[in-house]
Amino acid sequence: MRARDNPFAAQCVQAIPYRLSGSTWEKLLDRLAALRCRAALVGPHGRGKTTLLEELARRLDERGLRTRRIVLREGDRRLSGAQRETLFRSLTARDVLLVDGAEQFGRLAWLEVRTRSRAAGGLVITSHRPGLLPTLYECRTTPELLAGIVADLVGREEAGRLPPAEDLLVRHGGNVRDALRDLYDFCAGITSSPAARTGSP
Amino acid sequence: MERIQIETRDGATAFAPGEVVEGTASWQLDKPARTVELRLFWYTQGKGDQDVGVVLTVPFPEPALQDRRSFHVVLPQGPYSFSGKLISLLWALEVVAEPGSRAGRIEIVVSPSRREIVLQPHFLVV
Amino acid sequence: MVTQPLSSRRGGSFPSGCLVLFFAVFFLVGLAAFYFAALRPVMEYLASRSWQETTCTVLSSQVGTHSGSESATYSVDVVYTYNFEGRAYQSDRYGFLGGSSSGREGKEEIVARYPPGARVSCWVDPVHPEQAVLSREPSAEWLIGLVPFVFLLLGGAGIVWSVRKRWGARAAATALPMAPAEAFGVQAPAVLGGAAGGSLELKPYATPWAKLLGLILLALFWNGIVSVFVWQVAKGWRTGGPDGCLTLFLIPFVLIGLGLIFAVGRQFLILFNPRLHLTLTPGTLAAGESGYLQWSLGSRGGGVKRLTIILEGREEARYQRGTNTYTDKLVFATLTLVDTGQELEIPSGSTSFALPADSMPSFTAPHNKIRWALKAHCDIAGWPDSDDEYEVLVRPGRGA
Repeated sequence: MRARDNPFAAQCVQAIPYRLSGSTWEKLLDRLAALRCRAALVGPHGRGKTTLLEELARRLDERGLRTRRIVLREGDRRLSGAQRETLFRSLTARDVLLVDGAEQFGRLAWLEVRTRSRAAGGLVITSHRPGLLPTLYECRTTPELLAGIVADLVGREEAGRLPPAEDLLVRHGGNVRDALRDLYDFCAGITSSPAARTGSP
Repeated sequence: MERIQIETRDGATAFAPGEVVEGTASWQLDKPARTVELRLFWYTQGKGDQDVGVVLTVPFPEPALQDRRSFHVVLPQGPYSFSGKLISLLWALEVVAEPGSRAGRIEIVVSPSRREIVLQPHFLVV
Repeated sequence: MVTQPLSSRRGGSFPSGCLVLFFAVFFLVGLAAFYFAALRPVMEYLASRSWQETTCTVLSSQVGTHSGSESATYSVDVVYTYNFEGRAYQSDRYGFLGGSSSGREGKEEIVARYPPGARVSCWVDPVHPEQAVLSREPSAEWLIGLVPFVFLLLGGAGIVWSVRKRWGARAAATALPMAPAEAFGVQAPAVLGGAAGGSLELKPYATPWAKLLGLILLALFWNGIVSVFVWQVAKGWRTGGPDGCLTLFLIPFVLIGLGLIFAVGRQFLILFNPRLHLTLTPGTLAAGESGYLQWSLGSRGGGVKRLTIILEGREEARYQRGTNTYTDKLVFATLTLVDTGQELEIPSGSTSFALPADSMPSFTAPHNKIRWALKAHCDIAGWPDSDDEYEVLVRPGRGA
């Protein structure tokens, strides 16, 4: 199968909207407002925090707010000049700052973000652990969630020919992202070996 | 209903590097556009994050709500359209109307053989 | 029909932030500790070659005990007086490395040599007579100064790596949009003589020395940290208070440390392997066209029992999500150029080959690449084998 035809290509997976469990977008946005728009999306790797943050950004934009987003990579302990410019330049109450990967921050950098974001209308972060800000939503994964995502991507009939969602989630410790990448390899007919992949999980 | 279309001469969609692509872009918009332009670009699809390379932009000045314009672009020498198991690279022509980010797109193939290069595993011994 | 534009997506954003600050902390701490623990004592030792030997009288001597969080450390506390150029002075300095350390017995032996009232020799700085020591000579304890040196090296290497990574990513991002000469996002290497079609001497991705240095740093860092805990566990077993849980917990870490030491040893042996020199003509290959590869193993090539050189084409796809980055690689073409066990053919030779006309040229974008590389394997009997990889650029053929 060609990469462009693979239903689990990165672009297809990233286009799948986040599925809330036990809540609705109305309730989530109401809760965010109750938390004065300062909150965190928490969960371990591969639970969909980034996807949820992107969807939240879209909905906040629809409500007339202006979102400003930065993404922190492994090892980014503080803000770069460009990130400061993106987040803090000419802040108004209509701006909502979105920080993906806030658990990477060192203490001083986090203090800087909290202090300088006071002029903004809100601050929403993703983090692997709770505690930085009140938890807005905890991202969890279930076999049903993964099965639903797979069905959206390939259709129910085709999904039945793929490895079961429960087995995939167990193998990948609940990490949906890795499970979907495993399905990419399955569809592409790639036998993944440790030497074929390098990464910084 | 809004419509943005691109048609190449003779409906050709496969080209060699350096060839000329001629055609027409037509559109019917509900709201006026400040700018309408044709973009020639390549993009990747597959297991990795997407890369996009806009090679050339042709603006259509003073676009009307309903309009039809011709274009004439020279394709670059590369990269070639190809598909492997991890990466596919595709070429496209896209007409974009702003504001509103409204677009119409057609896919084309750019390679010496005018066919997508398929990276199939092969072993050779010299 | 109307859709969202695909061409507006900003592909190729390079990683933001860097690790420089993180490694700078290692570097600065290592620098400070290295100065006080190693550099300054050595500088004072060298300066003391001009100091004068003088007789001094010991006033008091004992082993000082300093309580730490885990265990006590000890120091040589000797106070003595001496006369220099008609004036009396007092000093409590034994050697150039001050402070305290473990090992009470050694300190007791030293103190026993300086009982109160004894008249012994000391060394006085003639320029600053208030400075004096009982012993000028370096001791085994000075080796402790090597520990901060590891942090210094690690921090420095990390800074260099972080900066180069950032430059590399920035270079990759600015490959878009591409100049006509770089349609595939790659820059042609300078070939020998600067002539088109000229030869190119290939350089491996990582030299054996670079690999050895990297392994040494990693082994020192890992074993340096693990040894602290191993020392504690060993002390516990020695004093009859063993910690079984900690002992079991440490086993995998110790095994990894031993593995790293083994890897260092192996890589050290590889330094003595014959060096493979590869020259490619033309310096950049072209799809559908011929290439000519020459190899030479030099004077130490006699130990190689089999030489294999393959040309490999592979896809590399990088994916970032959240804070994680993955790079997946998949080989799509393997051309065996050399595979010989013939004694006469191994030390040097050449071969012609042709890339298939439909070969995909090298391509570089920030997240997706098509790369070609020559992979050389030297099979050496009774010795670690050599494996090296050399990047090769494949450009479109002339028929393209």
